[in-house]
Amino acid sequence: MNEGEKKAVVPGWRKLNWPWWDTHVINCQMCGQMIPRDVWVAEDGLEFCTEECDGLYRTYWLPRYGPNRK
Amino acid sequence: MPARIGVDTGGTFTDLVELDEETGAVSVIKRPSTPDDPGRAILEALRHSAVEPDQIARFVLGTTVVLNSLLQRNGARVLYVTSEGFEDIPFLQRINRRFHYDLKWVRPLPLVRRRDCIGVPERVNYRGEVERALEESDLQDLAATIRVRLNRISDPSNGALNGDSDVSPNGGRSNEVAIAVNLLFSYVNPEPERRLRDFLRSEFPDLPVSISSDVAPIWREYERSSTTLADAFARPLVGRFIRSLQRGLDDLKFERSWAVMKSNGGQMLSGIAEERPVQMILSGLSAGIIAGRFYGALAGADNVITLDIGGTSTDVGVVVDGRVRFTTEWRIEFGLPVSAPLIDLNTLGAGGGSIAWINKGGVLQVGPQSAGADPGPACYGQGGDEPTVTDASVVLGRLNPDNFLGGEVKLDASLAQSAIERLGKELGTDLEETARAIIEVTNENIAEAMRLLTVRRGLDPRHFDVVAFGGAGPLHAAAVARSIGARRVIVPPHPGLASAFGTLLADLRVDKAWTHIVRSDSIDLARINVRLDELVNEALDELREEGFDGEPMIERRVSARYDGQNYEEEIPIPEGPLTEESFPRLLEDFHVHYEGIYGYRLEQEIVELVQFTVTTRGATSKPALPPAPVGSPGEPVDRRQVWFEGGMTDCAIYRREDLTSGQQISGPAIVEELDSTTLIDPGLILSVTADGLGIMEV
Amino acid sequence: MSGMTGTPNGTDQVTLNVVYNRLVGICKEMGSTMMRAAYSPIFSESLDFSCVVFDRDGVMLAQSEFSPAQVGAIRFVVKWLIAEIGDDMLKPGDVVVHNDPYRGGVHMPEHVVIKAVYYEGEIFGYVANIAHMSEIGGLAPGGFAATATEVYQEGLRLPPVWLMRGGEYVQDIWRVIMTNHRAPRYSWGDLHAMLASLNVAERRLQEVLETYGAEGLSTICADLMAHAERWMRVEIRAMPDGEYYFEDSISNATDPPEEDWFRLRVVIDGDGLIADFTGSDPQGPHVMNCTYGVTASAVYNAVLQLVDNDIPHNDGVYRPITVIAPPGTVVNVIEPGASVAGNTETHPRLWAIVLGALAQAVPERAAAATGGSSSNFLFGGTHPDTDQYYVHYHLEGVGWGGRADADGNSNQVVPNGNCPNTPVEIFETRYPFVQTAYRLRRDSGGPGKHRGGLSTERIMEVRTDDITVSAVFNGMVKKPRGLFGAGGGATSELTVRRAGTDEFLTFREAFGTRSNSRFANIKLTHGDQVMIRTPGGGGYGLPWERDVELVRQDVEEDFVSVAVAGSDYGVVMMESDGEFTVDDRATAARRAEMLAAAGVGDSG
Repeated sequence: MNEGEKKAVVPGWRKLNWPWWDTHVINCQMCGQMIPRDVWVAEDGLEFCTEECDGLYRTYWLPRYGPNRK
Repeated sequence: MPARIGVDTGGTFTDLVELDEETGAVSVIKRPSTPDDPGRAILEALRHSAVEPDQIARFVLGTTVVLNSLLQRNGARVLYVTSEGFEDIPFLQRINRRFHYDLKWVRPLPLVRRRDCIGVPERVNYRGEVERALEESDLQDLAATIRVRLNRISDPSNGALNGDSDVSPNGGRSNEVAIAVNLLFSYVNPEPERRLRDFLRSEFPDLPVSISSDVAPIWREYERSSTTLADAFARPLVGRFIRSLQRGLDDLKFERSWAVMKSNGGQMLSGIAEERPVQMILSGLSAGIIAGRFYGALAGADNVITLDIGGTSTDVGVVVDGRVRFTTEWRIEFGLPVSAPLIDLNTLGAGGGSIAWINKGGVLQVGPQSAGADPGPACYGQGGDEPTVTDASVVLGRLNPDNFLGGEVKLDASLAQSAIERLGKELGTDLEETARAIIEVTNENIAEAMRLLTVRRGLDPRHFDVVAFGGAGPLHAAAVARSIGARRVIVPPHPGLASAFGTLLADLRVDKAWTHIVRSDSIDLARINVRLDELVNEALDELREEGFDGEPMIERRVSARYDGQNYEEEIPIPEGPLTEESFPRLLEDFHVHYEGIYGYRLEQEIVELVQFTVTTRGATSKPALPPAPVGSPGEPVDRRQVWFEGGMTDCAIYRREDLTSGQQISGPAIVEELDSTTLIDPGLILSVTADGLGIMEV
Repeated sequence: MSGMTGTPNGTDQVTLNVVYNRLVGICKEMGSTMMRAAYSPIFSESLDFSCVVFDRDGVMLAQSEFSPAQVGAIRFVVKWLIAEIGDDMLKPGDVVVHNDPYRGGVHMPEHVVIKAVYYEGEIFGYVANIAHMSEIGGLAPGGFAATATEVYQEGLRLPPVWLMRGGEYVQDIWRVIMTNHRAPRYSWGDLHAMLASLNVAERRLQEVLETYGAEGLSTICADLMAHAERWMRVEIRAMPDGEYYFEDSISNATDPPEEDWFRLRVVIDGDGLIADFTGSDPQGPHVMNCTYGVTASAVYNAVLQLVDNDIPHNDGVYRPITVIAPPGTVVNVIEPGASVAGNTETHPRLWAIVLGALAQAVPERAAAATGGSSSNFLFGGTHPDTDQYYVHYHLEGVGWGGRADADGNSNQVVPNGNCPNTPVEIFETRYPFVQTAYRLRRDSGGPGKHRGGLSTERIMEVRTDDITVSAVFNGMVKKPRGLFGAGGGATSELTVRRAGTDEFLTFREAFGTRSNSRFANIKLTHGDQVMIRTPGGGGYGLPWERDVELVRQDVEEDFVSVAVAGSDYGVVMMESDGEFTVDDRATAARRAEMLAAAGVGDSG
């Protein structure tokens, strides 16, 4: 899957909204940190812990490793 | 007229205080110290004294000889005898690092060489039962091993191992040898160590032997070994010092016994001091706190923080409800602990000679590096060019360049200025601002040391007075006292000689400890009562040996913890023998005490009793201070520009000896005397009491 | 430098110093409270806990000298915990606990407790203690489930739950904990010690707030963090820009054992540093995996070793450092991966990898690898004297690596921790296991111009019918690396001599465990002896350049044997009757030979 095939979304913060009994954990797709409550969803649907990680993904990751990571 | 003489030998000066027992008159003599043979300066001072040797009723010495020996690693070659398999304990230490993020730290070597650590095939278990006893042949083997070491040490052809050319980094010199013995579980069962001591003494009568169960009968083999090594390390040196001083005293026809200050604020006879150097590490410093307590009491203060600022360091101590606080933890440096009863005080590298510098983050720091006495602060004009606290005080007009140490040292204000200016350039601040910042950082460092002794232990500084002494104590006291929120500042007469004076005030004190780990549900009260009585009697005997013939004070304490914990809290044992009736009260005291510190109690838990301690004290009679002069208030002798909050201010200068009883001086003002300078900030008032104390409400 | 003296809000230097010292003082006091009140020697002697103060957003304000593995991770743990539960769910007197490795923790035994500190009715910040509990249930006594393949075997895993509400016990959760831990009495005492540390810190922080007010203190803290961050950036800027690559592996003790590879690219760009572990191996069914907290801690730990130790250690110092650790790999384990040894064994290896990369940038500040194993030895059973169940987490020191200007320290705890050892006398008083020897291992330090530190040997003998032991060791196969031509440190060993036999055997030989270094639940009995030999530190620089006098002193002190002085350092010595002398001529010849041999080979 490459960038073009991803469904474009409006980037922004979303709240994780799981039932109280669901205790699983998700991680930032750039740095790997846990995302405790608020998730930054990028325009290509990737989930980051912060806007900075979105930026890092584009300035550091993509040029180095290409888009096929996720 | 009989007189008491107290001496304090420090790194720079040897101070002698004479107290006329009839009139209470005090006179003082200050001599440069003679670190190569500290006794020489003492004898010189005595020769300068007006008191005839046969008129000296008491002679007490406070000394930093042991402290310096340990800090400078100048001591004996120690042979360390220990349980086989554990010869490396002094090297293994406790495996933690000084700072968690500091790759540069170098673990200190112990005060012994590795091949001088000798194992003997013996073993005691944790209950104190001997599992493997030393046999006669084991003892003979040990003696043979030691003889081989001694021969090698004294063999003049053995250059690498001998004499001053010896470059061993451990610090022990080769020409003096001492033995340290530390067997596992000696704090439970000291008999195997005693047997070894007796054997070694008979085989090697010239070698001092320190055994761990005497020196520090504590749990944890490394701390005990480190303490025992320190004791042995300093013994030949201390012995030499005391014997040499004794010979000098004999020559002066001084025929009475004399005493040395202990780290715990008590005293011991010189002959005993020779055998237990580890108890005199803070010998000089503890006298200062004793003096602080005395002056506090004169001013009606039971809660006192003592502040002693000298040339290279500042010592801070605390007196609560008229009592000095004690601890058993001290260290030569991180990783080399010494465990001995000592007065709880904080020493920090912040004195007049402390150097101001900028760390890599651009933040101004003061100390712990010191310009010392040589070259000293820049203003000494002896070649030092680093800016120091004294230089900052000169720049701010607080120190009189012509009256430093009674005019013995002339200060050069222009050198102070240029040193401070250079620092200011780096900081981007002007001369006065830089000097002010140096003083403030110093004051804050000192204040933090005071908080560690008070706030951090749940003591509220608002209930404390600061007793300020040492050459620079009264210069910084008001600012420091305000920073921690203390009530008043008390400035005694002769602030620079308070430590020497303190030696004349100290009581005799003997501590005895018995480690006996026992659970509250299986306790043998009769056995404990018997042993407690023995401890009391031993302590009383020693007190008498030290020359005390009055009514002693006796205190009994036990340390306890919840079964499973490794640290204890100490509580007093109620008077009389422990009984089925009084023992539950003791346990309840523990629960209450524990809850006060930790905020909870574990009612249903078993309590473990660990160490029983007996302290006996013999009070000495306290001198009365000569009253302050009465009459019309002393007038200022001078005026000069001095920096206070808000800038340079015209300031009155008084002489201490002119001040009369009841006089009040409003700040801004400065009081100068031979050995110290008192700073009175604007808005503060210094009141002179009938005893000659100066008191400021802050 | 003068540009660094200002602060964003203009807090003066004196106030910065005072407030920083007071905050650090709070952390210290929390620590001494914990030490004194705790039941397990892992706390009272080994101090395996860290106490930290945070602001209301979970930003770290101060720490003290605790375990670097914990203080590096607790920064995430608390921030994420507060974000996850929401501070509106808290009220005064609440204490929340969790030990979830996937929530920023470092491994399951580490329990974090936090308490909000209120001032004038509002939360000002949090005090937290992260502590290694000695028994947490799971497949083996002592919290190290060495053979675990999934997190569920590693013990009782708590998500964020309330331990106290409004100062009252939440009894349900206490009962769950007491039911699942093997030594509940110890858990009871240790959890109370943790609570006591929070109570002390809460009072002290409120005292500071009385001096400065909430807003005043926040402003000062912001300046403190800006100051630390700026200082750290100055330090990073001083390192040459570039990309520095380093890789190394660790044996994972699966059956058959495999090497897991860790690949690191450090990017220094101006005043920022990126540590990118992309390309490291996928996580595996074993305990060597690292959580994100472990990996980030290891990076912080290595970088902070190289910079000025006076930088205030608050959140600001970590901000210029970015750690990239792809989820699902050995450097960022996700559910259900196990991770208990990642914190003790893999952390030091990661630390050495980071230093290996940075040694290319700042060779004058780096150090060779440390022994790099906590040498975790766990045991439990019923004490014959008291009939009480006990469990102990035993760890050892290792040799540290030689440095540009000094030898490595001997017998020092791994860089991820800063725990003192348990004294022999305390060990034997608490457990039916007596020690017969504890000593330095001669020649265990890697030879170099600056020698690696020595490691140790300890022999212990069982004095009870039944004791259950487990172990997680590392460094039995690969020597801890030397740097710049130096040799590696000695490898580690863990062996057992069954009662009535003469020989020390590996646990595989004696018990058929699949690994010599990681096994669980082996039963030992009266007279069995266990010998632990820990790994030594790597050397730094060419051994034959070591000062001859230093080699002589090493021999004199018996740190190095006469044989190794000759073979590895080229210093030919003679012993006669306990005297050691250097043969200058033979030494010169031997060293010339070594130099010539190195010239044709590719050493250095």
